[in-house]
Amino acid sequence: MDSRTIVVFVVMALYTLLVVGIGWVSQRQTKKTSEDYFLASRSISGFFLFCAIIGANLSSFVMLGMPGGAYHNGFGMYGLIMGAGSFLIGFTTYYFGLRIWVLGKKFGYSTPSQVFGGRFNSDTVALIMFIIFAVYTMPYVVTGQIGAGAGFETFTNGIVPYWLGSLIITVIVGYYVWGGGMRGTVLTNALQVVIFAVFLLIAVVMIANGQGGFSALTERVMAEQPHLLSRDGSPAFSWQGWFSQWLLFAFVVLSFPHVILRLLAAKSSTVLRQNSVMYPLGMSFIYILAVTLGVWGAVLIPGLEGAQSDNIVFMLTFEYLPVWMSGLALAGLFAMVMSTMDAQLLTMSNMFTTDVIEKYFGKDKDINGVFYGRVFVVVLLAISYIVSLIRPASVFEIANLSFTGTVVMMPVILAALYWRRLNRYGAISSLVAGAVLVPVYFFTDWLPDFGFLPVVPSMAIAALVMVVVSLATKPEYENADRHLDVLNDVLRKKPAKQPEPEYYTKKAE
Amino acid sequence: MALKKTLVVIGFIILTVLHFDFWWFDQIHPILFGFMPIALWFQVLVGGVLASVFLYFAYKVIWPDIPENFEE
Repeated sequence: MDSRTIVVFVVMALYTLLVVGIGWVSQRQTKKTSEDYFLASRSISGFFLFCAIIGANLSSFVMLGMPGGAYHNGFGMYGLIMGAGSFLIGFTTYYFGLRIWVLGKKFGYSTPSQVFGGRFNSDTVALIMFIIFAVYTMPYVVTGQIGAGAGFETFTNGIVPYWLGSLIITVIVGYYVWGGGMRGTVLTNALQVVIFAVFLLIAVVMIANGQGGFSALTERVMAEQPHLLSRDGSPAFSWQGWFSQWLLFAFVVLSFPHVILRLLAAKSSTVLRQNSVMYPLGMSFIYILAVTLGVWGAVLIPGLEGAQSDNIVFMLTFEYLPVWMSGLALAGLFAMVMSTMDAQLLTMSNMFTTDVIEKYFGKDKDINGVFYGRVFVVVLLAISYIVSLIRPASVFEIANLSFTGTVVMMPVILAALYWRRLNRYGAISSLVAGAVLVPVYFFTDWLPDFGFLPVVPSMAIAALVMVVVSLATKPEYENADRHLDVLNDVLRKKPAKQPEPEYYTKKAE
Repeated sequence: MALKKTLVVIGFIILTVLHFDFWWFDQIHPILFGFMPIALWFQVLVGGVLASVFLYFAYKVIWPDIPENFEE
């Protein structure tokens, strides 16, 4: 066993102990109620909420997919994926997150299905949403296990094989989600964000220093692969592609149930506001580092084809960084992977307990809810682990499908918070239309896409169906007003009009 | 207040339009900090730095004042 492998094992052991320790502490703090287990009793604030949302949004996509894409297409990948996303995802907290949070506090909602089922007073809407969330969130969990398995195998030179690496991450995440619930995942998310941010920063600085500095590396890119420095001529940066990715990443977070749950868990609207302001800066910092490593990797380790470039960050670590950075790299990968996996698992468990078990089987005791939630975590992990062993597609492809599958619900999700005329028929029709269109666009060529990614035509048609069916069927103002009146009342910027001071009425007399 | 809200809307539109910076897709220079071409630094400037600044000031105008325990 070489020194690198030893370092990897030592670092992973320390990291695992740390994460398991956090899970153990969280378990002792977590009360045996659904509200506390799934939402930490709506007490998350400040730095921890920031890390929870950032961590939930960062995954192996940032460590593998983004550098891999930048390897082939250059710095333009930053603008394509996160140029607008960092801003608009932050802004999402205002026009969407705040409303969800208000409704959650007012009506005691703990899942997105509850919110929208309540909006339309429809179990059908809630069930359809749950199914769509489940179908398209689980593949993304699998990408985490794939990333971890590949990382373990690469960093230990096969001593820890892929299947075992994937299993290790599955067990670790399962433990602290089982025990600590939302408190456990929020605390580990804070640790994980710090770890992978530190790793990426150190990697960029050390690689640059080892190659003569930032300018020297840039000159080398300019000489060997100048196309990586501009966005001209690459099909990845066609105007249709640029617009498609803007649409996808501008609204995708609205359809992430694990992000919605973190919004519901926020302590106050002030905390949401702070998080929204800081989000663009936080995401920009992480993504600058990720794309930079990808571009430099193209000249430092040239010749990789296709999805081979997904491993460029690890290859650079092996080739150009000291041994101890291998351990930090693996910890960084696991941090990213686990910070998203745990959020998604907890969310799916929460939704299963609340939207299926308690609704259809009459289990309304909080202790039973936590028990079923924990059992569901185990079941989900087992299923996703088996799928990760099959590895049906690349990380980027699976993520793209996962994002699109949920973001086509965005017209309903957003309109429900604003449009009084939207009724259950329009909502159901739109959700079903989107659910059918996504697999059709991804797996067949039956429908034209005019050069756009599937998200554009799918969302456009889903929105059109929503509007047409709502207007063609009877309005349900009572259902709409139950939510919209609360929102209109609570979200007034100024207080309600006050009666005139007594001075004026006396003067008139 | 109406003017301030109008400025918020204008600011939002400007940031969105700037993201579609097709006019210099073929340009590389100037390179900032030794490694960031236009393709990177301009998008970071608009979608990261200016976005956070914009949201900070915009929320002074549009973020509602929600009382504690409003749900009760």
